[in-house]
Amino acid sequence: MGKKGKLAVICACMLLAILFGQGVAGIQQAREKAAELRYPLTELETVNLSRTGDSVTAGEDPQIILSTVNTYVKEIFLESFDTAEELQIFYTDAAGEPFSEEKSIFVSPEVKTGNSTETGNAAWQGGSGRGGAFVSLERNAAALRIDFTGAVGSSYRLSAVVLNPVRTAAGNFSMVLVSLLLGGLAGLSIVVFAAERRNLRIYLGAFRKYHYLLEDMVARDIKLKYRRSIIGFFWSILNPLLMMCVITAVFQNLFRMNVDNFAVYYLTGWCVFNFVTEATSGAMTSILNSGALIRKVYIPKYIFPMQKCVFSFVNMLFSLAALLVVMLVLRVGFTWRLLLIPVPLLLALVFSVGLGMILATAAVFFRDVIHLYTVFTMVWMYLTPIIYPMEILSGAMFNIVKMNPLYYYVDSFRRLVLYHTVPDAAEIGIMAAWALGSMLMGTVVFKKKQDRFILFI
Amino acid sequence: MPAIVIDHVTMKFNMSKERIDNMKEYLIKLLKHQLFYEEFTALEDVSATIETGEVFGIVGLNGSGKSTLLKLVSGILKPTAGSVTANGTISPLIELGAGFDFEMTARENLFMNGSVLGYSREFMRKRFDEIIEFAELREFVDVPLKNFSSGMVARLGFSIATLVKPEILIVDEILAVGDFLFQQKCEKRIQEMMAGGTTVLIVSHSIEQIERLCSRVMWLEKGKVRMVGEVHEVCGAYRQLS
Repeated sequence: MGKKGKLAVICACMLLAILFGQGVAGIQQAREKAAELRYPLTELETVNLSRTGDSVTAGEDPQIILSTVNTYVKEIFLESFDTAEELQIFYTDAAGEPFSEEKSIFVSPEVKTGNSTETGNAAWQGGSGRGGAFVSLERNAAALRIDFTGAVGSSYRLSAVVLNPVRTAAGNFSMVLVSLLLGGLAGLSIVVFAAERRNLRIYLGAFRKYHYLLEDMVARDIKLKYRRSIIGFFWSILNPLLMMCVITAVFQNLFRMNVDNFAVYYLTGWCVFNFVTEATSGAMTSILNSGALIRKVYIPKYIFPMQKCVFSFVNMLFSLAALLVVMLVLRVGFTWRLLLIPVPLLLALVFSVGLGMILATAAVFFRDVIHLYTVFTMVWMYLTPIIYPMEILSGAMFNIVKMNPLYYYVDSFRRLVLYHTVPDAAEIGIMAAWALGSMLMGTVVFKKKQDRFILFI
Repeated sequence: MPAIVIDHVTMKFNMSKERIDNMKEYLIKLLKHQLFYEEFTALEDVSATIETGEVFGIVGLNGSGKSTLLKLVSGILKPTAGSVTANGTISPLIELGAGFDFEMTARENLFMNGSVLGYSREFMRKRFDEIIEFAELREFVDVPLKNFSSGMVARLGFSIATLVKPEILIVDEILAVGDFLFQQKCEKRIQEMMAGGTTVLIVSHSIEQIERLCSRVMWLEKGKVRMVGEVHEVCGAYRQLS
């Protein structure tokens, strides 16, 4: 493939990614709207019309969302919710601020007993008093929340996030940027793969012979980590639990973070983030630290970064036990969707191995990378929604966070565990693209430079 | 097909130069691209062809590049220029017990070292007793390696490394392992391998040993080939050096 051919492939991939991204956005939007109306309300205590700012899709007119909300409220109010007694509407002006009350409506006896759409509709229209729309805000609210209190005292909450137009445009722009980035990555991957495919096959073929070594080294790492500690590997479970207690105490009491089930929210984010950073920083120094072995025997060198990544992965599996405990205590339901958590986690592993190989290569030649990366992981942590909800972000920050690959791994893992929703095709596609792109880049960079490692360690 | 082909190999190293006293020197060296490192040529244009089943010796003074050549053949190093081709499985006895972890027991290290050499766990389990017998370490199987004497460690390493009859055996000064009884055992094992058609590449400072074992010898001097040929011819010339 010539230089022009390669460029063409990359450009084509970018273009395809943009088209695909826009298409997916459209489909997602339509489907979400449809799903909103068919939500099985009676089964859930809290109904999220849309959980985060991103699921009310970019390009949406706030008025359309409002009308969706109205239809929804009407349906619930009149059909499924004939025992409701009180209905409260809250709003916030900016993301992250607490909700304040807009109005509170007590359901009149006529509506409750009449049970017919005609009378109900009239009462509803009368109750709203503002051009027939039940929910209509004069202010440009960032989000609104509607609470129902049923006759038997059960309360239901419905929340909707309304994007303001500025952010909507930015949302679209970010989608294009993300598409460009991912498309470019995919194109580059194809080009590199085409050039290197024969070499890669030989290179990875040796892995069959050496996978015992990988297993042994990981087992040794685990053994060494907990040598001479009294409760041994239970630290892997206890450590995240204690961390979670501290963070939850600080953020829920001190900063009044308004997230339901904050403990689980934090822990899901922490598990994934901590795994990726631990794996990549371990992998980064793995070649340097295995200098003694590399100088003495021939071993495929990619074993070392892989070892560190798998080791961190096993550690994370231990911390999942901690998550399980918290889920039991806080009564976060267990659904079949939990069975899908290997998808984001394994993709995160692949991503980490690739990134780890790039970092390891860089660290051999420039030790500065090691120091730089510690700072980078800190920045990375703040760019990942671990302790804060996505709702508090606005404009540019929101878009930056959406370009962060870790956002997708964290978010889809959290969706499966906490919100019982399955990540959509676009999200899985983005995760897979990051993972495979990173893996391919890592393998190629590593392979190209590995023969010179020994001269620098 | 020759077992090992060494084709015009040149190997250059970066010598570490850590001392840089001031910023000015740093900048100058940075601009001259010689920061921290200075090139050193360990091998220069070395060529040799070693036939299958041959026992090939390498002699030379300290720093002549013998060990570098062995590392190139075993794949640990890659040449800066030229190429090294080895046809067949290689068992390098360059450093015994590479990757031993002294915190772990002999048993754990045995499996670990086995996997470093690319053997499966199943295979190691089958040969476990044989290795321990040969190393004469039966009573110490579950003792951490840090409590071993250096001879014991070397014995364990040798036993694992020579577990399988390889097609190419690379030996670097390791026949000085343990007491003389064990040394005899080692030499016997290596001779068994030679008899079985294994190609052997030996580096040794003991000319007697080379003369006893090898058929052809290469004499390296400061990274260059001084002489290649029949054992007596080369060894004779090498002896003249003193």
